[in-house]
Amino acid sequence: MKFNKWLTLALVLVFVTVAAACGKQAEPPANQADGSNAGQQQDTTPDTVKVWTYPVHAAYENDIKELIADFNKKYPHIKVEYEILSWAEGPKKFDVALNAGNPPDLYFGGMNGQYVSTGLAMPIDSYMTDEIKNDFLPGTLDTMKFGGKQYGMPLYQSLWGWGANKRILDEAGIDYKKIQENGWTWDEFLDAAKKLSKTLPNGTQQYALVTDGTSIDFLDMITRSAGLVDAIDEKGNFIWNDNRIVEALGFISKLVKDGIIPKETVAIAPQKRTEMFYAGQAAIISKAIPYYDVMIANRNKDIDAGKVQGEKIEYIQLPVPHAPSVQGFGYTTGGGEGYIAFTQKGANNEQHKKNTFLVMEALSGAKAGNSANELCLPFVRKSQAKEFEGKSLAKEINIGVAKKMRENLAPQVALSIDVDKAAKLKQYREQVEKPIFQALLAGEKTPEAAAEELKNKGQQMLR
Amino acid sequence: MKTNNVRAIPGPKAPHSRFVQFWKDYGWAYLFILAPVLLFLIFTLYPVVSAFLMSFQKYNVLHSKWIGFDNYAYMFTDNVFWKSIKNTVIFTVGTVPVNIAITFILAFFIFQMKQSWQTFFKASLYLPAVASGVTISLVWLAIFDPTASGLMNRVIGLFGLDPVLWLGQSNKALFSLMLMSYLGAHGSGIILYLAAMGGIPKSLYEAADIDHASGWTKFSKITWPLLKPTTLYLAVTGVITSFQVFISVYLMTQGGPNFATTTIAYLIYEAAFVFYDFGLASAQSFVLAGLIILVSVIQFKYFSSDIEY
Repeated sequence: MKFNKWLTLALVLVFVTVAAACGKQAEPPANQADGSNAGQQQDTTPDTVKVWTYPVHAAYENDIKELIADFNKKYPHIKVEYEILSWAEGPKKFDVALNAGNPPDLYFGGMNGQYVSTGLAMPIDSYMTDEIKNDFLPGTLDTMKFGGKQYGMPLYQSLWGWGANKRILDEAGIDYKKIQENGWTWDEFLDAAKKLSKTLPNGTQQYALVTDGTSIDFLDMITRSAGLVDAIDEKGNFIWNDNRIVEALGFISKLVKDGIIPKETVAIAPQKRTEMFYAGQAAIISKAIPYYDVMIANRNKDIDAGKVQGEKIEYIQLPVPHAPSVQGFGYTTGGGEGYIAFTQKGANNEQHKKNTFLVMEALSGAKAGNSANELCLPFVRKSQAKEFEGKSLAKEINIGVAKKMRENLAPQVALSIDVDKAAKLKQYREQVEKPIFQALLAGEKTPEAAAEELKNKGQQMLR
Repeated sequence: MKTNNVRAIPGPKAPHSRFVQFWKDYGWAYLFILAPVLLFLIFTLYPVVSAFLMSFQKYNVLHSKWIGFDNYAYMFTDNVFWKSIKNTVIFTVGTVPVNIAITFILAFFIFQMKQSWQTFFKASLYLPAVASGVTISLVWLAIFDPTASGLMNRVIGLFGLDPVLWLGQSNKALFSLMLMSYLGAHGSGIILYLAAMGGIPKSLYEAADIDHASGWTKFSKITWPLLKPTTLYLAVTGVITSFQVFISVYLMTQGGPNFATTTIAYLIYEAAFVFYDFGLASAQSFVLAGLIILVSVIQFKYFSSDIEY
């Protein structure tokens, strides 16, 4: 009898434990402070803010450690738990956590309507003081807004351009300074491409340009440079229905047909395109960010040290050429990346939300400008520019064009439309744009047929 | 004190006495099976029931909405879904029989060898099974390099053929993934076939020799029928694995180009983790499960047979 009692008790305990484990997550204990005492007396109840981030640049872990140490001098009661995810697996881990209702308080990434649609992205407008807002350069905060609400703060603005091997440009007599200053048109690029494409003495082909064909990044850049901000405009109207999309696709098709980019482009992955650029098989690499300046400088050092074999390269940042109908410098593709705030399912702790914002501000403040500096990107905050004045890591020859590219950044339409439209746009990009773009690169569709299909499906899905 | 010696007259049995007796007799047994039962309930039954309910919902982590059969209706009208079914069926039909044939032929020749050589070949051919699918996919990605310097293109270049966009063209990408499966993952099948071949009584072949049976007759009347259970097992597990093909698609083609390699498993992943449409992904999962069950039942019905030695 005694045994049976213990057995029954043990079984009950097991079931209760399982039931508790499967149940809803307990809400964190309520803090003493409510929203009303903001700015009056600091709540010092111990709290933990979870941060999931990435190796934003090679030494970012040192940055974040220092930023947290500085933060803890002022807020010793707020523990910041950070985890550095890998670029390859991190997004999956975050997606799972978010859709399970348990994302970290702060996540590093670009703004995305899907985050908002879960209901767990946390607006931070009520915590943003005028001082903070005014510190950001015009337009930079908008990159972390969705539907008019602020969900995050950018650490930098990514800029997708083209990057060139200076030796090859010089050999072909290309005036890259003029291109950096004024931009260039597709026709000007096609003229230059004739001089940049040739058969090398070892029998291999030197292409004018190399890009990857496994993503639609190249299509994004070329359509932006055709004056199309996206498949839809800021009001949500489908705009890939006129001659501009035919011209953009025609330009891409010509690049393949004329051998300006490799005929294998459709199957070239991002890593392969970098290898080809490093091997001197391509004069210009597409989707080149100003950080290539640092990456290539490091590679040059490795070549000097005998760790890597190959040709040392001097890097030149170039803007993406634009359609003749687009006036001026042309549009740059890119967007903000930084920390986005989240709350968890069932959590409703106002003080914790405030603490999350405090950590976000600490990780995005003046000293955090080191990320933009390391990535050779223009700063997004005045305080950051001041902090790193005279310490710029970017080469003078490239930082000027990077600033111009940022000034001509194409608006991120996906952030100004509603959640449902943003979801449809994403579906259109993945299920319509991508296969059609790949079929175009593979020569399986003509530009006209591809444009017609984009138009028909776009009008069905995005009307 | 005397009263202590008086035995109480037994009253009616307590209502729970049978339960107690049951626990006394079988308590340990139930305790031992409790752990696997709990694991099954938590990690299999609960997710399956939850996913089934989710397939009728527009899933949202905070407020899912019941939408009846909308996910199923959308799925059956979606061209990409039908393409994925077609690709999955082509992949399965194109790989399972061929792989079984390759496995059988390899096992047949290895079986004729001395024991030491058998061990060597068994170990060698089993090695790919030890490597992870991710590693194998990345190696094959390099082999299928689209430029003339790619390994596979160099091989065909020896025969004077032009470089091929193995993964870049709609009419070749799925075949390339099938080719990848032909050239690996036969190890476990070979071991099963060798074990089954070793289990066929020699007396049957001796009797066949007495009757002057030809090699083909011995193979078709003795070897093949007696290996049928092994073949059925390999066919069923092969079909299940092929229907779930994902790693190579995810790492090598992402379903492209032009959906040429989008399989149902990849479509489920895309619905869940690219579009956050977990309801649709659940509906697709149940269709996949239904297909696998259907095909497995058909295989058992038409290919299974009792073997008596």
